Amino acid sequence: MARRVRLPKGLVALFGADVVMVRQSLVALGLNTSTSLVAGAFLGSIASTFEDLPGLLVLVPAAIGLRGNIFGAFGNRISTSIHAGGFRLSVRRDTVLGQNVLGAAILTLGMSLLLAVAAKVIAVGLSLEGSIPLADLVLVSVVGGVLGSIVVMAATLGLAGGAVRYGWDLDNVTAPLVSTLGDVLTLPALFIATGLLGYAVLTPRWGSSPWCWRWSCWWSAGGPSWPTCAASCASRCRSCSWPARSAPWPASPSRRASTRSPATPRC
Amino acid sequence: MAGVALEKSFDSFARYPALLIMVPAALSSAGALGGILSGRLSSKLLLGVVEPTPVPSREARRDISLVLLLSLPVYLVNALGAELIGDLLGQATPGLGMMISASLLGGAAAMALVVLIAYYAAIVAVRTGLDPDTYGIPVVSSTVDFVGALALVLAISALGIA
Repeated sequence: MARRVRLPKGLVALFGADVVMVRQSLVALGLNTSTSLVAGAFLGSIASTFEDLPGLLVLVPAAIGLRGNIFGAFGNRISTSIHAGGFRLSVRRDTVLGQNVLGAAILTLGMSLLLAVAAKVIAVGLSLEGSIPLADLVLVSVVGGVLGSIVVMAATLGLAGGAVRYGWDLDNVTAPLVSTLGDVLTLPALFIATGLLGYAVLTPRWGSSPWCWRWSCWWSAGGPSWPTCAASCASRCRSCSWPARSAPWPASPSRRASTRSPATPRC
Repeated sequence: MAGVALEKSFDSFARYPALLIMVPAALSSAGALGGILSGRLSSKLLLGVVEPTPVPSREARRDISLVLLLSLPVYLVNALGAELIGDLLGQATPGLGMMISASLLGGAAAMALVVLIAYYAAIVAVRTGLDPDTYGIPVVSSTVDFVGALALVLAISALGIA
């Protein structure tokens, strides 16, 4: 990959022994910049989604950064392990790679959840008017995060394999390439996840009613009443149902708004 | 916090959507350059090539200089690319000169902080017995997300674009 990029002789003399680092980094940064601009074009084209779902934009930079944080550190640890000679290309739990894969999966789920909560707290704290409910933010953050992370993890593993086989220095290529993939994949992943908004079974509204009332309503829509709820509560809500979703996919912001679940179930 | 900075300035970005195209590139460039610096410093710290001193050693200064040199073409390309894509998509832009000025000004401010954060995060991690590989890039990229967005918003305001 790096061998094809030739720097001018003057630059080779200027960088001296670091010319390999510059060459590898420029390739990775070039990819990073060009794909980030594609992500930017995508961001510009879905600006109406952010107008339709206020508060979602708060989540975006952090969600993009999260992929870079988790898999940048992941790649860094693998890189040091390769430099130190302790690396094996195996995902068994007792190997450096296996432990890092498990850690990255747990971090993706946990941090996506925390990110949504933090975004909601910040949006409310800074008086961003009409921000979308916490359940919606959690759904978008977690589903979008998992979708993006699966691909980024696969790519990071591919890079580790390439580093071992072709002698690349992961220090020079991991951060730019992982953050590139984080940028390019996170926005579409979050956008895809916004398509799940409006399915009441995925984001039930708690509102101000007691939690057992809400849970029994939700539960009774598809089966038996929630067992831990009081009998009167369950019987009152056994006939409740969430309105059925008419369209499988929101084609436009206005259509999404019209198919979003109401604040309360029909009882 | 980066998101809040963007959300609060959303009207300005809506006026010139080409600026919005530049946002992910500006954020990820700062994160990528900080990641390169952090990755190199943490590997060299762990291998004993760089000492965790308050004033960067010669080897650390060399890495810092290289990353700063790399940042120039990166931010220039960010502005050119955003202008080009904005034109292709028929989106309003404040003009190539302003795009380049905003990108370089925001990039310079972001890189100054990136270098400080990357170096001292790695040093503090080593001195407190933590693994700089684990703490370096996350600290840099999460801080840089906010710093990068804020630097770009401030640069845009300082240039009177929006």
